[in-house]
Amino acid sequence: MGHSKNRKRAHELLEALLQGDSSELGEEGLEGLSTQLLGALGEEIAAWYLDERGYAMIERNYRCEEGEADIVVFDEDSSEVVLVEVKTRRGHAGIDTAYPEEAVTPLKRQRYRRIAYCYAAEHFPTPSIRFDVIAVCIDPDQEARTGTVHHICRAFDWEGGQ
Amino acid sequence: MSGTSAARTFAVHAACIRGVEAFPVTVEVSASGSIPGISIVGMADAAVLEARSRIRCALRSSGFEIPRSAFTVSLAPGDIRKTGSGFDLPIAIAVLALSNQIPRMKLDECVFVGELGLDGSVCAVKGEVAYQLLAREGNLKYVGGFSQEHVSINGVEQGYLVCLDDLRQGVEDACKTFRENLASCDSAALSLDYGDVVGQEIAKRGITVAATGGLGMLMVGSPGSGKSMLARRMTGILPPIDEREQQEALCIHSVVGEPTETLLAGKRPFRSPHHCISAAGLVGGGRPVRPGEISLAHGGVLFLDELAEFPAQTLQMLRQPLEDGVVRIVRVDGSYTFPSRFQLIAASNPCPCGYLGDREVACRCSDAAIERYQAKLGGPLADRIDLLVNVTRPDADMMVRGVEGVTTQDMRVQVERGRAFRAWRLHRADEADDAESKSVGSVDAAIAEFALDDAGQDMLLDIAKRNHLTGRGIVRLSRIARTIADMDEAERVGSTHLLEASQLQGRRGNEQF
Repeated sequence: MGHSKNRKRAHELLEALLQGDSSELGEEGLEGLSTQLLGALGEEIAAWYLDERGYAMIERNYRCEEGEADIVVFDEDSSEVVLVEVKTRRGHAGIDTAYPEEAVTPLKRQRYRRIAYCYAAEHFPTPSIRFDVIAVCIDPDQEARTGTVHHICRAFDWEGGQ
Repeated sequence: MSGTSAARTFAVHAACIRGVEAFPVTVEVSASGSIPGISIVGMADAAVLEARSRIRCALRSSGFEIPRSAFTVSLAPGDIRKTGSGFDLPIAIAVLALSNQIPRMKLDECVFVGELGLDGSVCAVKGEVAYQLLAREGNLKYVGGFSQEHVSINGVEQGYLVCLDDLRQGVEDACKTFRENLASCDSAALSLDYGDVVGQEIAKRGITVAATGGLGMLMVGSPGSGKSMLARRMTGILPPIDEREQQEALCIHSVVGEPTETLLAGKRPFRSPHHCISAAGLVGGGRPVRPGEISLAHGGVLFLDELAEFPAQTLQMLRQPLEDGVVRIVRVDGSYTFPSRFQLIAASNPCPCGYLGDREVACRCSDAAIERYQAKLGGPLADRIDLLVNVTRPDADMMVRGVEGVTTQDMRVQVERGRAFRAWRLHRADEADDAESKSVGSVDAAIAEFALDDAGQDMLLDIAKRNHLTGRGIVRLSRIARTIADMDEAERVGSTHLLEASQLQGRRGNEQF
């Protein structure tokens, strides 16, 4: 399956980047990565970040009829299930480009809410569910070696709109 | 007024047009750490909501950072509908100030109104005069965009911004001052002269009387007889517009986006709407409610060409404004009052083909058609039109030779003299007032005001009997005669004045023609 292959490759890349070895990316660097692989790498980074922050991983790429949630984790502090949408971009975020999290349009938020319903139905009983967005900007040249991670807690909620 | 709660909110002054007035709006911006974006609350219409995209692009191209937080913009008071693109600038400034990208000094002393270009430039919006009047009321500085048509109101501190980028130095340094209003720009070229109108001396006399007394006038005549020419030159003989009326007219023109050069030069407005005009276009209306032609003619002349072609219903709407000098428009979201003190001049053909009563060309209309046509003229506005003047086609040889009759200059002198005399007379009457108190509203009291002499009394009685005048007809006849006497600088109205007035009142003693 292409999906798991990407994930495996992404995991290798992350390991390499954390070692400070950007040669693993190949000659073209980040530009050479396919969209799928870039996304997978972003998700890998987000998962690693959440793990570091003490979230308990429940599931990666949770799928249901309504679509796919990138990461599902459990926040023990507030005992909430967190559905995380990961958005990944190359390079800096800021002046010239839009922030990655802006790609989470109202339509996507709506879809996430439906996914959450599915999740709640499948995993009865479920504690409260919250929605986070993690924006990853991959930039191997940065000090952190992987790039920047911007975690938005409660990026949106069950109500429409914001 | 800057935010107190951990500086997470910031507010600036803005304004929005409602009718012909601006009302103050406070633009309050609050930031929260969610998905970046701008959401606007406070009954904003589509043009205001589009501000989000413009602000984004403008900030980016001016080199500002778009803060990584979600902004909630509140337009207070929240229960009035906001329209227009003038909120771009205040929202952008509030966002920039909140994210500490521009100094906050002096921001709360200004009211900002402007649209943003995608390149970060600040553009002016319609209604600058109304915004300035609001700024003067609130003792604030008006800051907008630059426009060629800018009109400065006296006593308002004001400035314009060229682009958002300048704001880094603080609003005080960024503001440029507007140049002075263009003084009377070739006003001579703008006004047409009555000398160009050949052989219409009676009509010119009628127009002079109408201009002096502020009377309504209808010209009836065949095509090509010069009715439109006569009307178009009317503003030239009226005295310059006074300051208050000028300011009201400037405000109305500015809100609608009409040119203001002639107004600034002291000329009175002249409006001649086509007869296909809608009711809302004439008296004002629409959504958002905007003033109509009668308000644009405020302080000046409203010329209705082809009066009979106007829908009767539309003309009926003129009655109340003609009486009150203002038009009140009531909608679900409140009532709007627009000033509309104008002088009504109308023109019409005598019959559908236009040649009834012509000396040379025969009229081809059936009697029934003529009757129908004239019924239209007589109907809706008959009691608001004081003078009825027949305008005939001038002789061909007169036109070819180019006989010059009375010129604008002569007529203006007459109008000024008449108006000055009337002002003096009324002033004196005011002083001698209280002595005699007749029951106000009765016909004899109304006539007494006109101060007829003995011969005049007899003449009035004579004319009234011969023409079967009603009470209203008599009062109107006396009013015209009084105006003519004023132009003569006569204290009492004599029989000659009455005879001429009867002539100008037309065949129509009462309502019918």
